[in-house]
This record gives sequence, structure tokens and C-alpha cells, in this order.
Amino acid sequence: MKQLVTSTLPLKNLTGIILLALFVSACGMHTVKSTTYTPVISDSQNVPEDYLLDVGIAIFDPGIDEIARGEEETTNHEIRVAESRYAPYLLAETLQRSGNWGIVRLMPNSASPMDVFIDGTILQSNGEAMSIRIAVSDSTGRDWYTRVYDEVISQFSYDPSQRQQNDPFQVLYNNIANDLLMFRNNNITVQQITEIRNISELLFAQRFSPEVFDTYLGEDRRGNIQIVSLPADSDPLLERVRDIRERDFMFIDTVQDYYATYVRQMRLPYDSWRALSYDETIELREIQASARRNFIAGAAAVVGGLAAATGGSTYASQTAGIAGVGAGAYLIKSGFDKRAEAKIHMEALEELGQSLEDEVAPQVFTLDDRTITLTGSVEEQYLQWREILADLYAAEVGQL
Amino acid sequence: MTAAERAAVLDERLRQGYETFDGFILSERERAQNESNAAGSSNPGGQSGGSAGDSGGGAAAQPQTLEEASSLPPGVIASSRPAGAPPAPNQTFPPPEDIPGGRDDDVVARQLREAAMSEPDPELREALWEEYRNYTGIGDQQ
Repeated sequence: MKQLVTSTLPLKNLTGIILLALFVSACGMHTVKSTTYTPVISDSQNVPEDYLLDVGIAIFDPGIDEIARGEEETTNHEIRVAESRYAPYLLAETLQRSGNWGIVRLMPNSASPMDVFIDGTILQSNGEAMSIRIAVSDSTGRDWYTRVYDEVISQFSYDPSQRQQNDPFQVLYNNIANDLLMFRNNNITVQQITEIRNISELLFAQRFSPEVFDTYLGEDRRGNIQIVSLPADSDPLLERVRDIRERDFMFIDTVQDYYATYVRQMRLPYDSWRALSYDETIELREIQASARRNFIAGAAAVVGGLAAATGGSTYASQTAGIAGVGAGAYLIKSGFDKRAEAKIHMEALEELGQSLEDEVAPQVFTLDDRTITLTGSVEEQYLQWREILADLYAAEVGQL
Repeated sequence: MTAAERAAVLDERLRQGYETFDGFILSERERAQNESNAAGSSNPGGQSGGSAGDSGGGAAAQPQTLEEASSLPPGVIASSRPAGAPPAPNQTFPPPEDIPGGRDDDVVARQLREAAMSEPDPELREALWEEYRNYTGIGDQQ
């Protein structure tokens, strides 16, 4: 009787291991997706135009160096580069639409100072999930904040009726816009807004007439720019610089038109890619998880089965152990099958990416080429104006 | 030459530079906006292959240079249309006689001027010029 009890224990343990292995292999992974839509908030305070801060958004960093290890094979670098010009345009549109800011522009370079500057890095984008790191600073050099925004969307976001209204990841842009408004309202005083705006103007003036405007700006203990003194509002040189700045805004507006064309050209193929990538990404993740579970469960069953088969003291426990090894081997084989299936989905994702790359890469090239060409022409003109302003300053000093 | 005379000459050079630059940028904007509208009305997904030429890019879409723009008389908006190309959907219409050169325009006035110059409907165009006159105070001065 005692022997019977001891001989049934390994059998029970083995049954437990196999059942646990089967349970583990049957467990699925579920991702919670938010279906709530956060609208962009318009500031309830009626802010006078003089107190609206202008916002410049840099082309995003495509985040190639920060691609997660498991996503290297399925992330197309050219698409990331295309997205790094697409996403900031959508953010600029969202901020402009909110009415909480002055002009909001995607900046062709960092030469033109803006009141508030936004830098972004794309950390993930696969149609199902998007993750962007946003860093905000102002013209004084003060860092406002750096935050990571993640959004996982449902298939519903690709429904044509939804897509007519918004980008599938519009909520992410709305969240960025709402945080920016909240930060400004909670941390930036009216006096600081005036200072930020004055510094932007003086930085621009410095770029064109450093011999005059260098003296108006200094640095505080933290290394942020501060105003030492202000030129007279009627200063003739400042008036000329303001004329030039208006023309700089015209140049930046022209670049916005280039980006508008680019975004319109990219939208449909990009959306198709994201919708297809969404399905493939989910399938791939589920298959990979299933393969992993089968490997773990299979290995556990094999180990348990081997222990029982070799160490079992009864025929029943040894037979059960052999059965356990068989079940484990089956699970491991199933894991290999799943892995092969996952490879098919990875190849499908790569093919989808290649197809979009073929479509958008020439558009990215054209966009960059036109922007660089226009910037070159404009900079040439700016150089002449700088020289004229220097001569004017010399002539006016001579008059004194 | 006195310092004041020299300053006046330099100011004049600055103004001429503004005029050339404005003409250059306005024509480039007009072209870019036309392309943007065309991209919005066409189906981008239908552009199989998506070559630069197909997408309105490539050499034909290159911005003109300031030298090209400055070869035109001051105040004349440089045509962005290459020779031999079909007429652009949006023509540029010259301003009425009482409208001065736009060198002192601010951003709003410039946008009104740009909208009026590209408006094909004569009535609407005149309404835009009227709005420009009101905004810039041309009517008040006369």
C-alpha cells in the first residue's frame, strides 16, 4: 500500500506538468486597446494675439538607432524616414487647429528662431502602435519637458468613415497638443511669454546684424538666454530686421506647401500600408507568442516525462513519462511550425514595407531636394542682406 | 558721398532685394500650392512606381533660383511655368492700377494680394482687391 502511494506521486506530478504545459501553450496574449477619443483642447482663455507663442517643429528623428531588438527585421528604414517628415506635419496641423498658438510651422532647418521648439523621435510605428518621444524647449533655451507618447489603436481606426475625419493616430497628436497647452498655462507667465517672443526676435536680429544685436542678449546662471536690454521699438535697424523676418516667414510658408504636397501624396499608400501592417503585426505577434509558449511547455513536458520515464519505479509512471516526452516533443514541433509560420508573416511585412518604400522614397528625395534648393537660394539672398545691414550700421555710426 | 547718402543707397539696395525676393517666393508658393492642390485631387495610390516625375517632383518641380527671378522687372511676379509646358490651372492676374508695389505689405496684405492675383473670377478678384485696399488703407489715403 505504501509502495502504491509512492508510485502514484510521480504519476500525479507528471500529469500536473503535462496539464500545466498544455495550459501554458493554450494561453493567449491580449493587448488592451483604448477606443476613447481624446479631442484636442482649445484654450478657454481668449489670449490676445501678442501673447500667442509661435511654434516650430523640427523634422522628426526617424529613430533608426533606437529600433527595439525584436522589431529590427520588420522595420523599414526608408519608411521611418518618410514618417519622420509626415508625422511632424500632422502635429503642426493639430497645434494650428487648436488655436492655442501663433503660427505653427514645420521648420526646414534650425536657423530661424521660433518661440517654442518641438523635437521628436519616432520610437515605434507599425500600423498597430505608435510611439514618439517629444522634447519641448523655448527660445531662451529652457527645456520645457521630454515625454514619450504611446498609442495602440484598434482596427476601427482604419475604417474609411473614421479615416475620412482623422489620422488613425490622431489621438497621439491631440495628447501632445493638450500637454503643451497645459504646460504653457501652468508654467509660463504672460511676462515670460513677452520675454520669449522678444528673445526670438533678437536672436533673428543677431543672425543678420550681430554687431548691433549681440549686446542685447546675455546668459543667466543656468545658461539660458536672457534679455540684457531692449532696442527702441522704432530702431531703424530693428525695423529692417523685422522686414527681413517677415520674408523669412514667407520662405518657411513656402516649405509648408512642399510638405503639404508630400503629405497628400503619401497619405493613401501610407494608410494602406499601415492597415495591412496592422493585421500582419498582430498575426505575427500572436504566432510568435504561441511558438514561444509551445517551446516552453514542450521542453517542460519532455524534461518531466524523461524524469518519470527513467526514474519511475512503476510501469505506469514510466509509461506516463514516455507519453509526456511524446507530448512535449509534439509541442516543440508545433513551436517550430509556428516559427515557420511567423517567418512567412515577417516576409509579408518586409514585402509590404518594400512596396511602400518604392512609392514614398522618391517623394522624400524630391521633398528634401526642393527644400535644400530653396534654402540655398534664400540663404544666398540673406547673405547679401547681412552685408547691406553691416554697411548700413557702419554708415549710421559714421553719421553720429 | 556723405554717410546719409550712402545709407540711402544701401536702403534702396535692400528694397530692391525685397522686391526680387517677394516675386521669387510668391511665384514659388503659387507653384507649390498648385502642386499641393493637384496632389489632393488626384489619387496618390494610383501612382504606380511613384517616380519623382510622376509625383510632380523631379527637375520640373525644382524651385527657380533668385537669379532667374531677379532677371524680371521689379514687382513682376516671376512665372513658375517652364517654357513649352501646358498653362497652369491658376493664372496670375495683374493688380489694378491703383494698387502700388507690395514691398511694404505685411503678411496679411501679402496673402490678400496673392489671393487676388490668382483669383480667376473678376468679381471675386475685385472684392479681394477691395479688401486689400481697406486693409492697407489705400482708400483712406486717396
